Amino acid sequence: MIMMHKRIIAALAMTWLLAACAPANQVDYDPLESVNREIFAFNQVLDGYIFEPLARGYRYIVPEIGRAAVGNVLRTLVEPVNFVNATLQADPAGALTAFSRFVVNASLGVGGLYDFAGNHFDIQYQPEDFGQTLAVWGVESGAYIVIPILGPSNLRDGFGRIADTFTDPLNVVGIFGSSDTIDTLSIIRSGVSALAAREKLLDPIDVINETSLDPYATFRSAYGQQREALVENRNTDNLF
Amino acid sequence: MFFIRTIFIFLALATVVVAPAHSSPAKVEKYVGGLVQDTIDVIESPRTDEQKLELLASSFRNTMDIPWVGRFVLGKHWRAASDAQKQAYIKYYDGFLTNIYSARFTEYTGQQVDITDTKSIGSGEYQTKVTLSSENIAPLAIQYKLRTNGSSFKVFDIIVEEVSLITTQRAEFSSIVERKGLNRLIQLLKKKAEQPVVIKR
Repeated sequence: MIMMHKRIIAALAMTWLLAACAPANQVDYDPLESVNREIFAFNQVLDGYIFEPLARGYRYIVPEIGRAAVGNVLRTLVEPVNFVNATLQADPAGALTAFSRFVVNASLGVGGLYDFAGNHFDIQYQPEDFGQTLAVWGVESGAYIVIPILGPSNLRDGFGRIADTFTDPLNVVGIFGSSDTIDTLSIIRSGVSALAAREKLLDPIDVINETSLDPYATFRSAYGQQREALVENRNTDNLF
Repeated sequence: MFFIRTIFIFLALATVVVAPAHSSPAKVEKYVGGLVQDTIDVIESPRTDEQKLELLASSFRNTMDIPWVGRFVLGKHWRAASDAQKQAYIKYYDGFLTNIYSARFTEYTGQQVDITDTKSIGSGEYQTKVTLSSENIAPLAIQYKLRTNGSSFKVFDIIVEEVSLITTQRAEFSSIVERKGLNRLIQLLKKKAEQPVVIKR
């Protein structure tokens, strides 16, 4: 437990240090570009052989209404994380949105399958993660990084992803009573999330690959713009 | 005092009378609505694909402020470029951008089109949202930024899911020029501009 705390503190300190080294203009700050490009190229190959075909298969087999239901369940499962982060950002409206959506969609939405809150009460999904919370607290994004398999991120958001695992309902339940069932559900949820996310990105990524003269730079810029929009709570479907 | 007050009232009234003749969100919405309808008319007309692409390309060139966008996305490298490089760059950037968007327009398949949220963003510039929607498919919202151009307008940015065309391309082109030089960028644009446009169905 103490080792875990030391690791978290070290990661936090590193994040702040690297963020502090970033120039005032954060956009496209990429001191690790040569390494990132190698990882990006690796991810492109992996995507071409595995993730893209799986996503196309998913789109072909499951009709839009089914995919929407899967997406709704995944979003409902993330609402507790949204609630915690909106609270940490001192955003009572955002916290209420996440809480309301969770309660309404879990019940009236039949376990989250239908977005009752969005379609009938116009309470729209508002993603909040710890990376955004750190941004609201004044932490700069730091260096752009490309994570193997997972794709674009930055130091702040990468740390945020780790922190969010502590508020994820399945992980919280797992802390109090780990079981094979919880572990299996967690793996299934991760797999389905990745598949659903990749399917949503099929068309935009096709466009980028066909039209961009430097897909690496395009993804980097698009990621930065989307994250900025999320921090400012501008509505976005969060391509990343 | 009476004279000054009269002048002031006259000027205030003149502003009220004159204002509607200037650009306004309503005029922008009417302009965009007209463009959308013209585009749909071309797509749904009984013309060959090549004829449709030619008309859509011509419409795109008239609507988009390509010279301004081209200079903007090249950023500081525009000032450092020679006249010959500038000429070649704008020529191939025009072809590159026109080809991308002409092909995209042909993907329209009868979706409902709504134009909303039109507003002024200052200094003769406006923003509007065009949403394409159909049953069982998530709606696609595209924001356009336009500026006044005489009695009409020109588009200078296209934004989808908060990702701006001019911001993204500026980052992309900067990356290429800094790593490989402006001539390489011009070569890549030329290659894309000369590729035949593929219509997807």
